[in-house]
Amino acid sequence: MKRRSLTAATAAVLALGMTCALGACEGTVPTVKAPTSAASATPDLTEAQERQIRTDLLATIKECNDTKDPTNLAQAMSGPELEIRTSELKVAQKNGNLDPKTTIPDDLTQTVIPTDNGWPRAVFSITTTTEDQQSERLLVFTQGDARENYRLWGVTRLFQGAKMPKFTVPTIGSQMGHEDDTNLVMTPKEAVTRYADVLQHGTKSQYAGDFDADYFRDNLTQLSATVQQGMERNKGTQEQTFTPVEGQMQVMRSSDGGDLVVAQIDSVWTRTAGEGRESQPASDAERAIFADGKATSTMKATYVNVIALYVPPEKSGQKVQAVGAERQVVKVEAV
Amino acid sequence: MNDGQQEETRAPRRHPVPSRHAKIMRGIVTPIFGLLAVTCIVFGILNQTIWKPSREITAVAHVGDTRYVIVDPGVLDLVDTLVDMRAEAASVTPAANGASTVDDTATDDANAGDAAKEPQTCIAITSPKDASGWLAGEPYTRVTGLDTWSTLSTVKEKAQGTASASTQQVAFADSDMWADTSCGDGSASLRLSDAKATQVAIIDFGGDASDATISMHWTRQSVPDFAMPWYFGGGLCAILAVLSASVFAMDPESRRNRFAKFVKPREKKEREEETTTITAAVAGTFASLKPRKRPKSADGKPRGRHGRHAGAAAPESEDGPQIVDPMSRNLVAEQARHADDGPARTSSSDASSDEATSVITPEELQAYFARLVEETGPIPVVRTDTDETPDTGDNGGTSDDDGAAEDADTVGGTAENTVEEVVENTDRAEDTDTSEDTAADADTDVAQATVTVDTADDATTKENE
Repeated sequence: MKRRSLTAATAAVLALGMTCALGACEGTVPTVKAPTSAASATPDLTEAQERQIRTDLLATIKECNDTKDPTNLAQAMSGPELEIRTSELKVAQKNGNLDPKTTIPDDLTQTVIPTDNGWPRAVFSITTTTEDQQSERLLVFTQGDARENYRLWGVTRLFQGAKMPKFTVPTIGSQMGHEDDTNLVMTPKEAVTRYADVLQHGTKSQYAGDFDADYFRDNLTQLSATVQQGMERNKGTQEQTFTPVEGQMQVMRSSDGGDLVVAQIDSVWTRTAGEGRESQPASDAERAIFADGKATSTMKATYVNVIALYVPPEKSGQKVQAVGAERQVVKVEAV
Repeated sequence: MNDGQQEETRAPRRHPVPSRHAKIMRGIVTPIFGLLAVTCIVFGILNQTIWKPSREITAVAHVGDTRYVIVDPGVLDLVDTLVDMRAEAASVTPAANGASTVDDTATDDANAGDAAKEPQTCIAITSPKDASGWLAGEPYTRVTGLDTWSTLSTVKEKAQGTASASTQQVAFADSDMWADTSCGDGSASLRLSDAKATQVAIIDFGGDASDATISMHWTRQSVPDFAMPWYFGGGLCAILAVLSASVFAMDPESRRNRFAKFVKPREKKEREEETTTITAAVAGTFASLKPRKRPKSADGKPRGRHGRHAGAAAPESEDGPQIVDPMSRNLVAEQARHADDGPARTSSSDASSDEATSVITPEELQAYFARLVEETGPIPVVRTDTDETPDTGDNGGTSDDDGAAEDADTVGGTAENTVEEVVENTDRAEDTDTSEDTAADADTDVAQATVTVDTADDATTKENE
């Protein structure tokens, strides 16, 4: 009797349980799971998106290059690069050819995509070398607002043999830095300001010891010395001032804790000829930009410089290293 | 005498009347389980066919007075990763100023003043943070999940932040932030083959939509299998039904003994019948063993106390050999007679004690002792410590397979036990596991066992006479 009632009770429970469990033919309506915190740390772009954005921008730029018309450049460029490429196109209009340094390869060796939620955002991409074996380009794309699109903010030609810092793979994403980042040998803003001072004063700068020698600085010093020699022959003078541009700085944090800083430094090169002579443009580009201007004894050439600095972590014991630069005259005037 | 035994074995079997337990199990429990099994299987078939969960799930939401709709993270892949989205707006009031307007003026100055430009409906897939950035400062409607299988749940909210004041705004469809986008006039549809929980869909009607419909259609690649549990339950009920009709319908004690011996009842009975015939044919020497291997009556039913009390054994007396009713014995007179017998009594007493441990029907005992007297004269002391002793027990030819088996073993192991000792053992057995009626009958059994031997003595005497 006991066993029978046990069996009956088991069967009843089993039948009832199955009926209840399987009552809903479609099953229970699924509910949305709460998003995990990891979801917010995703890269802002996929590599495919970056490729698409870059391809579209370069296509627009190429159209401008082909027509040598900078009118539509603003759709694809912003910041210092817009000024530089506009000037380059003007030069090309005069000279008939676009300077080979303006070439931007289509292929990349690396892209650095941030994971930051806010705006503005910046994507750093490093191209391959050009077909004529020019050095790699560091491209900086920025998006100023959620309702804007990415545009090419800056291009620097990386120095031969420059040692670039390592970045997290784009599928994980990197963190954007800020101009006031600490735990570095100096803040990015200080680094740019001091580097401008070093460019201006050379080895006489109080910050000269903070920076490793680099191709850009050496080249500029050499050019300045050459011009200085000519000026001294006719008792003229020259002066070049470098001024960082406020707000025109993009910072990306590398995986070793350092910052890669790309910033705009404007420079004004004032040359005054002596003995009643006229001061002439110092290069083909200056001449093209000066165009039909009336030369006087004093010529003032304004340059846009885009420099890429690697600011290492504070305890690394390294100096700040310039890894790339671009320089283009944008304005030449006789004063 | 052999003829008599063969006659006994050939006696027509009678189907015993089923016990109440068997009736309940076979008449009530088995049909219930059978019905449950059929029901489960029917439900299983229904769940596999007409009630099969649909592969196509379509959920719809109606929204109004909104320009933007956000499908929350986790909703796109809520049912399956393959999802088709469709957004349709019955009427849209073009925005006074907005991204599309800015873009129109920027890209197409000639047509900037034209009102002919109809607002486009666009769907885009992006990350939650990009969607939030686009919607900063804008009111929007959230699709938060499924209310039912056919209804999407929605909530109206206003995004944090301030609306963009950039002069470089682009049209919704042209934004770089969208991983995938689709636009159309008045309606747009987008198919995602691998929706992820981290993705959101953002819908822009191009202006305030007064009556818009958002539909999401999932194609389930795997539907829940509700049929298999029903089949499983049906199979279980079917097995229980079969067990209820067979094993569970058996008397619990006889089932226990049967399984304890690991012998099928039919095989055992047949072997016993065969053994009986051979033993009878070869020699009477084995006659003492024979009864011990005959735990059952000719009809195959255990001659348990239940059967006897229920009167099931009553017809047996008509066909089989004469039953000696030990209860009708005058024990006092027999004891007096045994006292007169002198030395013979001792051996007889020993024999009776020994015989009390074997399962021997009175008829067999009669036949045996008659033959023995013919051949040898004096009655020998019967040895009981055979290999069958533990099994055959000592129920004195009254029953063998019933619940008294355990106490019977106890008694059988001690040939010289007195009746009092047996009663004590029986009491112990009662404390352990035998049923009430078994314990109650223990005294009677022992008494019967003791007296049966005496009866055999009498029978021998009669035959000698």
